[in-house]
Amino acid sequence: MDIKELLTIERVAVRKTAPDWEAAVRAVGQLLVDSGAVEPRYIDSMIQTTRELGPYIVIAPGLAIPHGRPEEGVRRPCMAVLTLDPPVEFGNKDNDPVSILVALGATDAEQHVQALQQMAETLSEPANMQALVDATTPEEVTRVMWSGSTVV
Amino acid sequence: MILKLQIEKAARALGLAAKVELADITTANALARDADIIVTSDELAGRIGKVKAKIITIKNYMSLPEMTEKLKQATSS
Repeated sequence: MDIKELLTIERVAVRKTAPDWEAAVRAVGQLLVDSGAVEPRYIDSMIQTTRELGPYIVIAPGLAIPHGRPEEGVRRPCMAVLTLDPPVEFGNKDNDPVSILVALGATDAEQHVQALQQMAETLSEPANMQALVDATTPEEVTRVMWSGSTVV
Repeated sequence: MILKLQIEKAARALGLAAKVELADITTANALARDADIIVTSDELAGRIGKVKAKIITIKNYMSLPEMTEKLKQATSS
């Protein structure tokens, strides 16, 4: 699936504040819940996964990709983006603090491949990461995130 | 999954014929018996346990230069 299908504009929020990582993960999970793509229990699964596996979800400087287990409430494949100002500590010694959260909801691994590839392509450019941090509207975020899309 | 994509890209750049399989922390140990190299994060490396395979740890999953460099080192030594 193309990143445009997974990341719709109502699943983006910018410049939010969160007191800690858990609140930040809940906030980005809520975007998925509000758009109907996951059940509310998926947020708990995201928190649980992050607790179990530790701050490894912070996969690059400033970037976290919280996700839960597919069988715990994912209705359809989805992605949400939340930016934080100020950034929040997740406990990852190399990549803290986090200012961009990309939440993933997968039903199976294969459906996600294309969108993840497009995302990795985009976010491996430091200038694009900075553009996300600087974004003041959801439109600016989708413009960056959709830049790897193959759907016109 | 992101790591897998990045490994494949880096392997192509290095001209390596790599077969990349995904594993989570519970299956990594079993899969690792047949693997030459395991690529993971610092955070998870300590939980893989004793394996014969070489372990590469990646700090920035989005950095192709980091992946390419570390993969190159691991395959040339």
